[in-house]
Amino acid sequence: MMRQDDRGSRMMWDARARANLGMGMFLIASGVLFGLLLIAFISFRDAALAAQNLNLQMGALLTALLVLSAFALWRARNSKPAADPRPWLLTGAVSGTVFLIAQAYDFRRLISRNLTVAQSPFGSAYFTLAGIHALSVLAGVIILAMLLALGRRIEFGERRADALSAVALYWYFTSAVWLLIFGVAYLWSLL
Amino acid sequence: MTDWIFSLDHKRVGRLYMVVALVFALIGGLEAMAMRAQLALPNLKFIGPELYNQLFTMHGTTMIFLVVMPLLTGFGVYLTPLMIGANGVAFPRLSALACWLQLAGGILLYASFFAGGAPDAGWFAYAPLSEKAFSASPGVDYWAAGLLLVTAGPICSAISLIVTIAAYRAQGMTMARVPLFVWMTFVTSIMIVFALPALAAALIMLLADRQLNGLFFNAVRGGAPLIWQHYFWFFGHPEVYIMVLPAFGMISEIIPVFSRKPIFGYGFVASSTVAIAFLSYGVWVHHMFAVNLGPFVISIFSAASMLIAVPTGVKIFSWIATMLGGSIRFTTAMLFATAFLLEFTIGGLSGVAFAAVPVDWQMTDTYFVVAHFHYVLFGGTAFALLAGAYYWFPKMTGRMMDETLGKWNFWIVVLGFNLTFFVQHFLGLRGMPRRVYTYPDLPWLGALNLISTFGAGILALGVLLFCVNLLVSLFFGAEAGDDPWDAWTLEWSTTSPPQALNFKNVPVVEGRRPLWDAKHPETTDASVGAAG
Amino acid sequence: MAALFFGILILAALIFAVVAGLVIYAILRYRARAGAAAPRQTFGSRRMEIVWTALPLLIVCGLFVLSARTMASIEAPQNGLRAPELVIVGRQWWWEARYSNGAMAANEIHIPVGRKLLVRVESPDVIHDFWVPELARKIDAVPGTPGYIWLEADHAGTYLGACAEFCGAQHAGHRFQVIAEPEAAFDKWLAAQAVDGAAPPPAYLANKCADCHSVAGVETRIMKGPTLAHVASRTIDLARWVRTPQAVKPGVLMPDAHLSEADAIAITEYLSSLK
Repeated sequence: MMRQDDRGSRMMWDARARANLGMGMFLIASGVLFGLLLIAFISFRDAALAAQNLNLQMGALLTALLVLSAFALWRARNSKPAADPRPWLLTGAVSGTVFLIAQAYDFRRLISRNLTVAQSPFGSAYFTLAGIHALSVLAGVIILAMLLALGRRIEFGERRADALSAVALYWYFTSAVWLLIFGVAYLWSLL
Repeated sequence: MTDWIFSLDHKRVGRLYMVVALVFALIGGLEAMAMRAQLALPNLKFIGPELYNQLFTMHGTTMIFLVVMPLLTGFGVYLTPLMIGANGVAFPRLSALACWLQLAGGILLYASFFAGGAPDAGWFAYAPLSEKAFSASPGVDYWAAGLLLVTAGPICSAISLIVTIAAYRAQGMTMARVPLFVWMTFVTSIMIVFALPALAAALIMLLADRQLNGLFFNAVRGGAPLIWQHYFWFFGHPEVYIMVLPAFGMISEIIPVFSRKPIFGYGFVASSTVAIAFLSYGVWVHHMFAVNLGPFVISIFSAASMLIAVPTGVKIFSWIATMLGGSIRFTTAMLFATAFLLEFTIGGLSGVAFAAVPVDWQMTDTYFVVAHFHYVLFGGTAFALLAGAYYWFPKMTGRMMDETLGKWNFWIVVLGFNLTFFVQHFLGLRGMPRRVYTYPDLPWLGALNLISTFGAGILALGVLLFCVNLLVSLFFGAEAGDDPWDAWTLEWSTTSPPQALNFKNVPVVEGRRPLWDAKHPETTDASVGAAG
Repeated sequence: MAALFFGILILAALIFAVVAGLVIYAILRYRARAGAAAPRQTFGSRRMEIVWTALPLLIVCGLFVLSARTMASIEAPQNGLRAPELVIVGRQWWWEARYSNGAMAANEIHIPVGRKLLVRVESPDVIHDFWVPELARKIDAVPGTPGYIWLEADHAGTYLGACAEFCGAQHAGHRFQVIAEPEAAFDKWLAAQAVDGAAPPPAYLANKCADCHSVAGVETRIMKGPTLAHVASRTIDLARWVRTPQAVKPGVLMPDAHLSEADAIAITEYLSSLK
């Protein structure tokens, strides 16, 4: 990217590229955070507790919801300049919200089966990992709602496109983290 | 007033960082003075154990998170756009937010004093001591929550600075031509992105244990106390380089200008910095050599810790080689920069001693360590910050700092600092553990501690003198002009202080020293093939 | 070990001398002269950089080899496969020693001269560190992860030790002694330690001292406080401890019991008899 006769880095880094770089750095930081919580979870893995309590169907549903929202954001990010991305954003937001409701329902189910933060290190690690992840989905849904609200007052032009690009990256990341959680907590323990 | 609070001007944000950090520095300094007073003689009853443990916890936490990091960030945010010929930082709101997050975290941390007691488990809060069962007061909760906020701050400012340096450089300024301070800021910012989240993960797990009765660190119930240490030091070791690399950057700007010679081996200094950044993530276990981790693991990290000494240490040679053959002006800034070379070498050498595991097995957790890290963090980073203050104060305020007061400042600080901390090497060798509120009347312990306390008093005087010089110069300093030092980087091409719009016209950059090239059109760096 | 330490010291002194010498030389020789022109602008030297990187690299390689060999020669087996001769338990804020015959000691740990003991160091509460600098390396006592050291005294004597991992309010007071005595004297001491102390008087029981302290020679229960079976053979200000422990060691887990003077006298007398 850096050529000897650089015509000025400003020429190479338009607003969208800068937004992507900034979000990319943020996602690296988040990746380290989730990675370490995941490692803690792996070190406290308890196949017995997982088998008794984690529900594979619920896990699959949660995964499908996030894959759908990532897909929706992908379509929104790659839509032609003339097309209106807002239906896709709405899809993503709704899908994310349903994920949160389902996840909350699943947490309550687990707690009623006495798998809690205080019950075992496995419980502590699972709820912390999935809980922090759920918070990041919530943050994503809120940001999508903000984009949608702003979109009604301002036409979706260049500036919104940078934000859209960055937010889409965030959603890909959040979905990828869930895939890892699903893989380690559900698949690895249950299969 | 509201201008300052809501300002998005990177110069305002930078100075806000510095002012807030200075206030916390004075508070942290008072905490240190109280501790040294208590330790002046054996078995003193001036400060009891509970208060003392809060003091050393707050002193460490304050100095690291609320003083050194914000000061370095402040300089980074202030200088980076000016040095690369830009009019601002990327994502100015994010950058400003970062400053407020750190301040909020600091306030939350200090609120603990009024809420049942400050945290008292050390700035590193090892589990299980930091768990609710052994630290019942809410102090550790305030510490963890405050630090979560404080951790978010540097991540935000790092993101802003990375994108700024990537995207806003002047025409012709390739990454091979940016000032070394910008290189260091860039590498440090990337390190922050990889390291700070590790602390956040550990803090989240600790809060889960304390607030939700989690079992992460509860050995009796199947948890693993050692995970705290691994995660904390995975953050903690890169953190110490985060605290020193920007200081290296400042020294790399100051020594060349006052030696009237370019830095010896720009590429070498830059690439050794990248090497340090990578290696720093592979040495964290050297903080845990006294734990039973098995000889294989310990040996690997011992080797890595010795290895990282090389790229760190050889920079000293680059700086000395810059001075040799030069024409050295001993301004206060240069005095501090020169002293830095010697103090940091001492600190670095005591650090390498620790990489030898059997030595660590005697010296870790003693005053030898306290001496080591104060030599690198105070004799190193703080001296570089003092040099940077004297060097860039004219640019930031339009006035010169008083050189007479500056010389007094320098000599008193050097005397006080070395008196305080050099004897602590011997305290460690005589078997005095660290983090103790008192000690028995064994041979030499009393005498050495008394000398150290005496030195601390002198150091405090020196620091006070610096503050006096700051204030006096702010109001009565001589007018500085654009370029009082005959320097070479872009910040000196604009007014002192810079206008709201940093640059009206930024020239196309053709080398590493744009102002040298402008002042010496017949002997530009490009003409001798050294333009990068 | 001494070779490693002094080797590093000399190396560090040499390196510092070189650095300081060069800096002082630069300061004296290259001070700016008034009106002088700009000095020759040199930008670096690939050759110098290689030399001054390779040399330190060689030095640290040598240092690592010396360090690794020293480490191997003093390190005890950490895998727990060999039974320890002595178990040390670090607690807030006292040290318990458990011997192979079941006898216990608190804070004053006797060992026989000239015998190399494998010691396991553990903790049930927070992380401590067992450090007797004249006799052994330090080792962390991590709950759930015990550590092992070799402990050997070549000469008889009293060796001071301290906790070397911050463990709370009285970390500073978490000190101990290792008392090395000739084999015969040690055996006698060890046998005596295993003997029960005399039965306690009513005042001792009424004030619930027995809740935390044992006077049995061999005690299998985990007690919160140090064994008192032979407390009078240790150097302790019994009168003060019985009446106002918080004044002796502020923050200690033993509460001030606000004893009546009669009870305090009775208990102190009793404890003084437990040699």
